[in-house]
Amino acid sequence: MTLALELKKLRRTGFFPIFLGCAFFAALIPAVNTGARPETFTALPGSPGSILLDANWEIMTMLYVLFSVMGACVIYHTEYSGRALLKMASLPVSGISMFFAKCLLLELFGAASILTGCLSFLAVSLCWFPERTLPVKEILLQGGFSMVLMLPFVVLMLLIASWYSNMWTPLGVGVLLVFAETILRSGSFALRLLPFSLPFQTLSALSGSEIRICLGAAAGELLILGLAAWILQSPRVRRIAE
Amino acid sequence: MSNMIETRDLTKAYGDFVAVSRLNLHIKRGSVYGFLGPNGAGKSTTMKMFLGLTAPSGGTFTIGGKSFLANRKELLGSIGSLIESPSFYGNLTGEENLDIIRRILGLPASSVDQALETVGLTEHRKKLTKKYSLGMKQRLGLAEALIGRPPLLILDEPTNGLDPVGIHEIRSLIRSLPQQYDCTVLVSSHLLSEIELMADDVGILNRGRLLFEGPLEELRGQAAQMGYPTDNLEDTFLALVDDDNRKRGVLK
Amino acid sequence: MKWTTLFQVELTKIRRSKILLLLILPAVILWVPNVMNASLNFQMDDIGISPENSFMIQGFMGLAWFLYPAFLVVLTVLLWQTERSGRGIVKMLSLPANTAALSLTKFLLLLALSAMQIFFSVVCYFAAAFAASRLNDYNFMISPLYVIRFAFLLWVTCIPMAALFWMLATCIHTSVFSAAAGLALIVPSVLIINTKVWFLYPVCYPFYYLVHEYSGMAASMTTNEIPMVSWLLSAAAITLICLAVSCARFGKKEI
Repeated sequence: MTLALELKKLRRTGFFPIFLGCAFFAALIPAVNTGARPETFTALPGSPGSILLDANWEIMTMLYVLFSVMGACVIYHTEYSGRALLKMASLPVSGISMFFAKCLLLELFGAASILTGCLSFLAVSLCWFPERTLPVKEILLQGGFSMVLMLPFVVLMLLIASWYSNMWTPLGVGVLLVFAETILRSGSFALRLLPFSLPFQTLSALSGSEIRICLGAAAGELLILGLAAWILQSPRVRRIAE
Repeated sequence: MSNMIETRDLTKAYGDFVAVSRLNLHIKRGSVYGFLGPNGAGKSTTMKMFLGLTAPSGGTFTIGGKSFLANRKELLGSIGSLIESPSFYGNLTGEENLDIIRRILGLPASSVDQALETVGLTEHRKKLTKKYSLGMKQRLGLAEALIGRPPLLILDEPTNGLDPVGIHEIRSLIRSLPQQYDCTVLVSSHLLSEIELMADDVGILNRGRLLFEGPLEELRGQAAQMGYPTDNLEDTFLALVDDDNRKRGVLK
Repeated sequence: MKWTTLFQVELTKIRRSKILLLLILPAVILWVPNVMNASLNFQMDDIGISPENSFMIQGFMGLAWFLYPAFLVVLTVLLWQTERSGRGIVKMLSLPANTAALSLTKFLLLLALSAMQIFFSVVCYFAAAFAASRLNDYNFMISPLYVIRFAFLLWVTCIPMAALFWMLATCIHTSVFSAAAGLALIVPSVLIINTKVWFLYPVCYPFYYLVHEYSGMAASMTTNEIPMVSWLLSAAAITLICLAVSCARFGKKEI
């Protein structure tokens, strides 16, 4: 029920068009990039999956991450703008379950966008690499991997968004985090395990043990952020903070 | 006495919905004109048209005998307004908000203090407006309208959000403005009881149409003739609006 | 009304809006990791760029491709938020001020703030170069005159992009949408920069100019030529169109 309620709260907020736009826009990237200069990619040997992922995935992930930031901001903006959060606090509803329902929603919409991107990859493979094997498994595995690695970032962003009544603060923080990723990208492997860097990792660039470390880091971060959320969303802590 | 505002068949339609229909107002110079009507009657829309905030769909109006379109800048410089709810920059203090308007209007620095003094906000001048109470915001909105003592004031429900003492103060202030500042005041409300304490003339609007225009005594006389209750003007107003709604088939 | 009065009014409006923090923070964030990773600039032999040039270019690269455009998006939306949150714009529209002049003044403010951002980035660059020099016992400082000229031109290349974002923020009433549209436009610029018609996409300009400077400094990179006439023409046309649309649409949806 909480999930359905949270979904209802997002009507006419711009949340759905944002993700629809994000999914569409990100899905266009491999098509336009390949369509604009097909020979650059078709001349390359190997699986079309890795060719396309190498050429486009980073930019697409940047869009997914940026739109998750926007989504998190919108989700809590609706709570703060009409002081609805105050009303919610006075109702017999758990703030923590509300928070995790929001996390689930944001993750689901992010995952749907990623899935649309994966389908676009398959369409591009069919169109420009008709003679090579369709990289269904490779692309879907990458999509699933990114969906899992996106989870800690989603929780982190919602945690930040839940703490500021002014939507522009979490937006600014989110944009800066995404920017920090672009700087830290060239740094050590440990830095790439931070919640805002994890979604950018690709299976093709990682060894088996690194993949396991990434997944382990995501699980660990999820646990820590979940615990932080559980503490910070409790009515007592929020009362003290206000 | 010449008219400060005159409208001729002024109309505003949003698609099929007619918010203001063929309105003919005559607001006398130096008077307080009470613009009365239930919520959604078209009062704010009419006032917005006078400020160029929305364009009329039909008809014309003049302010001080001048057409708005040809004299927009000059006319806006001579109108003080408060529309719907106060407009302000929350990150600025009351004083800074007024200073912005002062600069645009090219007024002396002292006009800010005068406006603050007039509405009783002097002690809160340094406070951020986002921290103002509803009543203080309303007072700031009034100060923004009064600054520079414009010859025409357009005030849309100026007592909204004020406590009884505040309502009394602002009402007395509005009443005294024509004598004090030599100005004309167009003030709207949905309460006749409020308007009757301030206005010389009233215009009653319902669903975009003007039901009555004239002095309050004339309203009483006309109401008695038509068989409406006259003991209490609020009842007269309600009966007038109710009758109009019945004629239009809105109420059964 | 004088432009100076309007500009002063616009400056007053952004008091306590935390915009200054927004100007300083990215500049600091930009250079701190660069100081920490300064030693990586010694490993640029394959590119053929000197460590001090590499240090400067790498830092400004982050600024030109993402941070600066993103900052402009947030700034344009913030400037509009200041007007919309307390309905200040309604008051402005009922005052005797020309709406086109109001729009252009706000755009000038945007340019002034973006110039401040570049200025802070340059100041931070000098501080960072000084710190990196001390830490690595190598002089990372390059000619201040060159850095200032480079930063100034970087700012100039951003003007059409600023006009585009200003138009988006003016025309798209819902601030979330205008921010989303702006941010979405930044991301594909790295792809469009590789096409022949990059000059039709103003978000590319600062990054393209930076890459041009980069290729001039790196021996093993082919210098990317700038088709000056096409670029200047399209930049001027885009700026004028965006500003004309902004002026025409300013305040139209606020009532």
